[in-house]
Amino acid sequence: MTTLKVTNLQTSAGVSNIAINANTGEVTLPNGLEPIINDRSNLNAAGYGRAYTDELGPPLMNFNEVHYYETPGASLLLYTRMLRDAFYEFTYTSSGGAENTDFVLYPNGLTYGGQFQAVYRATQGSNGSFDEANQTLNHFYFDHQFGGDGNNSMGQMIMYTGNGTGADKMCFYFGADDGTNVSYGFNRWTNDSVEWTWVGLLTFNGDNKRCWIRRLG
Amino acid sequence: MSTLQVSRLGALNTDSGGILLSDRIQQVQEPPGPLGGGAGQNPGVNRLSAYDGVVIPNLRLNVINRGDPAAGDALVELRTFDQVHYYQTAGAVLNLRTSVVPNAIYEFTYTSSGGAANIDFVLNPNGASYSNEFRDQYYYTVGGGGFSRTDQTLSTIYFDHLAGGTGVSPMGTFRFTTGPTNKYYTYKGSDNENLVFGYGRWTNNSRTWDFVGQLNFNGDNKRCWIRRIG
Repeated sequence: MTTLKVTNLQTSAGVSNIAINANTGEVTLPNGLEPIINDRSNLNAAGYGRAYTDELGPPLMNFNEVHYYETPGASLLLYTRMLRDAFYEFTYTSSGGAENTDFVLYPNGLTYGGQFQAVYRATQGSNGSFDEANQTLNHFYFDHQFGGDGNNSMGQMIMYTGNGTGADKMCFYFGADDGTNVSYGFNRWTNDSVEWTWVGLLTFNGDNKRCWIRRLG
Repeated sequence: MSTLQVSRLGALNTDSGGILLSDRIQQVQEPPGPLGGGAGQNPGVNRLSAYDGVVIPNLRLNVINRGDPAAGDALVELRTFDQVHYYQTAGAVLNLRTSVVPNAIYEFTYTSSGGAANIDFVLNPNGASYSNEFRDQYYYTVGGGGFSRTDQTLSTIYFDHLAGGTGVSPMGTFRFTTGPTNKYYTYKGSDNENLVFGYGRWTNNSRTWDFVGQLNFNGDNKRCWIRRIG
């Protein structure tokens, strides 16, 4: 155990008004500091089936930090380590590429047969009606429309990593694209014995994917 | 004087001052009190959130009251992810003079109380209109549980809560990406009668989204909280 007595912190630029509350231990950053954006775009990602490695790096360790990923292609490895019993969120956009946005996330970069129960509603065709989908699959899945069109998508996914002893891993999704589609859904990972150790692989139609990940709780 | 027992300290970002903490950090030398410090206890450990040996520093949200700025007032940037710009007005028009940067995501939540009925959400990004540059599609309830759909190309960002003249006291959340080329947004809103989900694109990729813009639609006493989320 190392003991570190901290009374003053400052950056290399000499910013020293980083406060440490002596009663609570809270660390308060001053105004005027830049958000912490950790650009994770340059990983040499192998994609599907990628095993856990040190390349995952540290998890998101405070709420002022975001992991940012981008690719000119359709598949994006979200190599952010996650902790048990925590909430995360990511927002993605995609521009161009193949049509038909069927959101797919392989958590941990893998498939797990029959362990994902999807419940979502997606619009269909020229009217405003939502159609129902209840599916059991081997990955997280939300179709934007039960058809073959739609591009330039944007979506938001909120993820809970479970506690391994009864509090299931689950997620909530809201997405849309320019094929006049919107999808709203929920998905539960039913196997409590599997740890959700890193976010996973986004791989579905649509190029130029961008993704911002942060921890919510 | 604050003393931290540190089993492992992660990196201090020398540019931003952000601290990446690793493993468990326990505050010690805290005066004995109801929350800890007695014999046989680990003083102060419950003052920080700990999961699986990882402690998240409890950074305080920094809410900056921007009031009700005029259209030409100064722009202010959100500089951290735990900073919020808060705007308020007694009227219906609210200038959101928060500057935005490229390749980022922002989100705001608004409420409105009283005033004219019929909530048609309108945001003029940069406080201006751009002819036929906003392609919006949205799904809204029309009585009962059924949804209708509208697709429009307009000079503003627009989401009607209902294709009619009713509905007051709305609340909504608008999330947008700033490009620099492709700029997208989603909207979820509701009022005392209606519910809407929306999505849209600012189709002119050469435009720069400089500041959030102007909210200008029915409903008084608008409140708005803006934060950067990516």
